[in-house]
Amino acid sequence: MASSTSGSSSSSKVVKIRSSDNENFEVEEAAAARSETIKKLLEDVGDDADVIPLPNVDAKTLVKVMEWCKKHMDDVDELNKEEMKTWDAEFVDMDQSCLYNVLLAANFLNIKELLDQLTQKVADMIKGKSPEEIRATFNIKNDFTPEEEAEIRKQNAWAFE
Amino acid sequence: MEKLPEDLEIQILLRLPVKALLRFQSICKLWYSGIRSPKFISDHCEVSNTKNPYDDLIAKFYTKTDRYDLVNVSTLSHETLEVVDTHLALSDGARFGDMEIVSSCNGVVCLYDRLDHVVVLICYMGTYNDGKYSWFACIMEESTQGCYSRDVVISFDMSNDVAISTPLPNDIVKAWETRLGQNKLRVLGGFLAVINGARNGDGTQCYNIWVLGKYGVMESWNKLFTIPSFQDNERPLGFWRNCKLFVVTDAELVLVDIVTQERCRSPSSKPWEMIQVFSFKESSFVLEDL
Repeated sequence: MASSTSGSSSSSKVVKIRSSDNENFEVEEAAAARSETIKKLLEDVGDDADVIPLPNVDAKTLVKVMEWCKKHMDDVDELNKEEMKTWDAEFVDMDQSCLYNVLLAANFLNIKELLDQLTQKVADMIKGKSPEEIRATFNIKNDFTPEEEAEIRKQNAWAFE
Repeated sequence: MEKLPEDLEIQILLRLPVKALLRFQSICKLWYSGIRSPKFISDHCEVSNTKNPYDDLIAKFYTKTDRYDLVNVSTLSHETLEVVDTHLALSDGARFGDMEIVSSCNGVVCLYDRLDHVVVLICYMGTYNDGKYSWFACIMEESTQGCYSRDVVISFDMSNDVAISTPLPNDIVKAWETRLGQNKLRVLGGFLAVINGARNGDGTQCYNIWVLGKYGVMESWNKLFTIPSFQDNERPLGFWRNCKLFVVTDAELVLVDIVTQERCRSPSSKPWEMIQVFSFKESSFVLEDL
């Protein structure tokens, strides 16, 4: 049982998590457990856990991720599916650096559904871009010779139309 | 954006449309080999299937203009039926009209060219489902009473090179003798299906839709739907979204709901005549030179 006096239903059980910049958060266990990583840590440490440290996620990002977890805490019934879709679409609509951090956090925290949504969002953002723009966005170095690159482009010429 | 870990980059790439993947092969060597790897290609198919369980369509169109005949092969969106991409288009219709779509599977489309035999595959008018390529055939059988022919579907299993023969029930064979050219072998909801032009007892025309339960077992053909047909010159083309039947007449393209039998004109606004239509799913498979 939680160390607090609350002995009510397990759904309101609260866990403490700590961001990389040492901020503590209290989150409902059902929300935090959307993260497979946190769920596993909770199982491992049992009820002895005081605070779960998350050394890879800063406070700003953690707030964002937990906002998603809270919203997705319960199973969605058919009626609310559309509403949830709209909410999700608005949630992933964030600036690039924020999106990058939340993506890394979702990966580290192992939240599959959130990761799906975020990777799809990035895919939608980049699908119309040119190779040059992609290299700049992802900081990728072009290691083809000009001849090699021209040859590959020639093979897939219709994709550049 | 800073450099992402490689596994996340792959997760993002798996969610891109094929056209973008082809373009992004020229970004760096790692992406080139990654996008072309068999593992990535099959994972990409899987993610696409989860994202969108409906197949798009690939169709052959024919249109007459003042100056020339135009034939092309285009893919259509499963949602709007609008043309997404035109893959082959030639204004020399007489030459190109001899090209038929044979079948399509996981983004590979088999075309048959009657003049050049450029791509000739197994058979004319077949369909691919569940690892097997199937087509209508007529086989001769000998018995003590003599020789007689039997109408079957032959399904060639690509995984073990075994051909399975599934006899067609008499109901199908009898019906199609009265309405020749109105039968199609297609896939409906993952099952091999026959669209069978038939006549009702009162002489009116209809389409029966039969679905095969088990390859090789004649008794497992099930007649699931009967749809009335209104005109003599109607031809069935294929299915859309697992619930609608494309029917083409001289003047227009009609979609018939196979459950409610409701009819509506195709939302596709192209004034072209659609000649053939098949399910289509894009993929990034690479065909090496033949």
